[in-house]
Amino acid sequence: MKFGKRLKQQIQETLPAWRDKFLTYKELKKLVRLISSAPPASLEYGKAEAEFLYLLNNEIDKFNTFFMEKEEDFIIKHKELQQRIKRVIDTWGPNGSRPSEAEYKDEMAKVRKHIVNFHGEMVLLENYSNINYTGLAKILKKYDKRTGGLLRLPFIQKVLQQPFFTTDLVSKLVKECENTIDEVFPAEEEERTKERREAITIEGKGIFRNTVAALLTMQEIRRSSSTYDHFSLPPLNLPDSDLIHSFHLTSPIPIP
Amino acid sequence: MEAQPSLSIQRSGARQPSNLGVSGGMTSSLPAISTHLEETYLKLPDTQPVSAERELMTRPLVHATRVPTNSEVVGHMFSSSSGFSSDLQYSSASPHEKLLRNTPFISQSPTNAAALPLPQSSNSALPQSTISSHYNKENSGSWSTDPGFLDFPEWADQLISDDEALASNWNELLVDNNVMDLEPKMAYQVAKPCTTIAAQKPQVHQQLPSPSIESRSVVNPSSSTNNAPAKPRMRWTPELHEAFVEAVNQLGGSERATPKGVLKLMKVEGLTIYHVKSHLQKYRTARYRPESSEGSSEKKLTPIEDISSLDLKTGMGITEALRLQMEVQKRLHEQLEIQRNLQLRIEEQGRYLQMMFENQKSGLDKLKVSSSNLENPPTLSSDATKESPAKNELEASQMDNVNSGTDPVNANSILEVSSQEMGGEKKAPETGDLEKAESCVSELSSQPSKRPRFEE
Repeated sequence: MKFGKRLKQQIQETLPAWRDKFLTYKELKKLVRLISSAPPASLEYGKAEAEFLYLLNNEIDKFNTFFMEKEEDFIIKHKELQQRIKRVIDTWGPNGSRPSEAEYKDEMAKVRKHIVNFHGEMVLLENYSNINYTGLAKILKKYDKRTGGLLRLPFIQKVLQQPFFTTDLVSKLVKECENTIDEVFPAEEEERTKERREAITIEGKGIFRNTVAALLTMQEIRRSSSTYDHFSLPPLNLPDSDLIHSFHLTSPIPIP
Repeated sequence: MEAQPSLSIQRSGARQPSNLGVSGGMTSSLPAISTHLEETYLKLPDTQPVSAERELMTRPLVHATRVPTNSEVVGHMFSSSSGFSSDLQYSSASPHEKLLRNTPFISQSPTNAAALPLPQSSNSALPQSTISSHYNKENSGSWSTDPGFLDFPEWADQLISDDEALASNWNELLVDNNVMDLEPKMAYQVAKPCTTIAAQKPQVHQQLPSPSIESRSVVNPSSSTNNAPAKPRMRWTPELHEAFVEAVNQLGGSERATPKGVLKLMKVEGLTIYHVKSHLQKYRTARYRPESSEGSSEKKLTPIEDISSLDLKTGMGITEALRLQMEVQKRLHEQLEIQRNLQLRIEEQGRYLQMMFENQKSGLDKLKVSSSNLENPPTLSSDATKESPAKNELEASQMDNVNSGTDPVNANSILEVSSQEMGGEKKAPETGDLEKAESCVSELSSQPSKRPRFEE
């Protein structure tokens, strides 16, 4: 039940286009309840079970499709960003064709916003993958518990191999992004003026907020629950938990 | 006696340790079973063409970083619905139960029988026992339309006892990242029995590779007798994209290039014009309208909510804000990676532990019998009693580790000590399942130990 709430929160706070791509946890839970309440080997039992499995598979297809779609987008965008940065360096950089510090900084500032958001979106996809996996694991556990079945173990093995859970490529892109940012925007860069404030667009805000939400949710989910067992993840310790909490805005702050 | 057949398998295994190019103590018994299986049932066909395909198909397991050799770059296709769903009937746990019952002697790797993500092709080859039969029947509609799977030929019964070899091979593939470079060989070896046996199923040919990726096997258009629905999903990789960009550039840029032209230039097997078309569209959008493509998922955010967070961040200036954003994002990414790895390890361990548990039951009986065969008569009873407590001690120490929540280092030493104790009491090749158990345990001990789950 706790997970269901957390998942709902995540869905609410996620990027709008993603909202219907998450696990329909509640629905699956209902089915499990239905199965366990039906007399064993009856028609309704069979039906409910079939529907449950059908839904599970559909969900996984949904995840896979969405995930691979986004992954494809990321591959394209990653390359584009790399090329764009290269162009800026080659044109306005110190060794470029038309070296100009002002232009360089200007262009780089624009790119920076993009690349940071891009990084964020990729991380959010990783989060998407993970939270859906967690949900699946939980629902399977419930199923086994309620019906005395042995579905969980083998099924989860299958899930582990699914595209939406094999996030190595996205992870790699994320790291490459981080490296690029570290290279191109070294830490000692002086702060831009406040005039740039307007440049922070809605996009950036959304992703930042989502990331914060995701981190906190992860922490919440992993707090020890009553059903904590050896298949559960240990509690998550975020060192800057307070700081992150302060970024977590669940309701709009009225603007004077 | 019961012990006999198992011992013979074990011996043959010992003689051919490197048959499949498998390394690691844990897998040392695999060749035994697979070879046994192959000897019994197969004549090995010519390996050349098959292995290339194997490579292709196992690539997806290491997807992003590797490029298959068959064609320049190959993406990975996924049959979107039935590919996954058709495996469900084999992913139920009872197959492994059945296997364990049929083969009293289960030595080898811990991954042995636990989960059987059997490839589609082996539908007809392997038993499809399920927990409840109505699982299959009611779901066959929504799952793959493999006609023959409900009735499997009699030779499949014989295969049952050797299933674990296949299963363990596959599970090797699934579980152990360290043996990634061995996968092609293993998949190849595993796949062959399926090819030969399930020859009547045309889709076998391209569904074989490793069960873990049957939902994303490379679809060969020429032999696409796939169970998959009309649009197999394509999993793009950076390398594939590179090839795409190359082709586009050769054709004069993204505006001028046509899907057909690009497809032809790329010469990638399994790639369809449909894939190229959609990819080209994405590419064009990304190039010429980077703002919109980036912001596409976020346009609908309400201004108020965002201005409020804007408020918070603008106090710092954009650079600082972005830096902060990066920090949070990095943190989240890190945690997600860790979490994911943990999840993988947990499931791995779950399977090992279950196997161990099952083994212990059958193993203990085996021990008593085999030790009476091996040891000198005078020491017979004492050995038998020594071994069982040792094994119990092992299990107990595992549980202790779990309960006290010790870190892997402690678990390591305790478990290894127990293993050594056991090992010392037995003679070399005939140590049989205990030795295997040892290696399982050592493998286990490198991961955080948890309580074994007995209800599964």
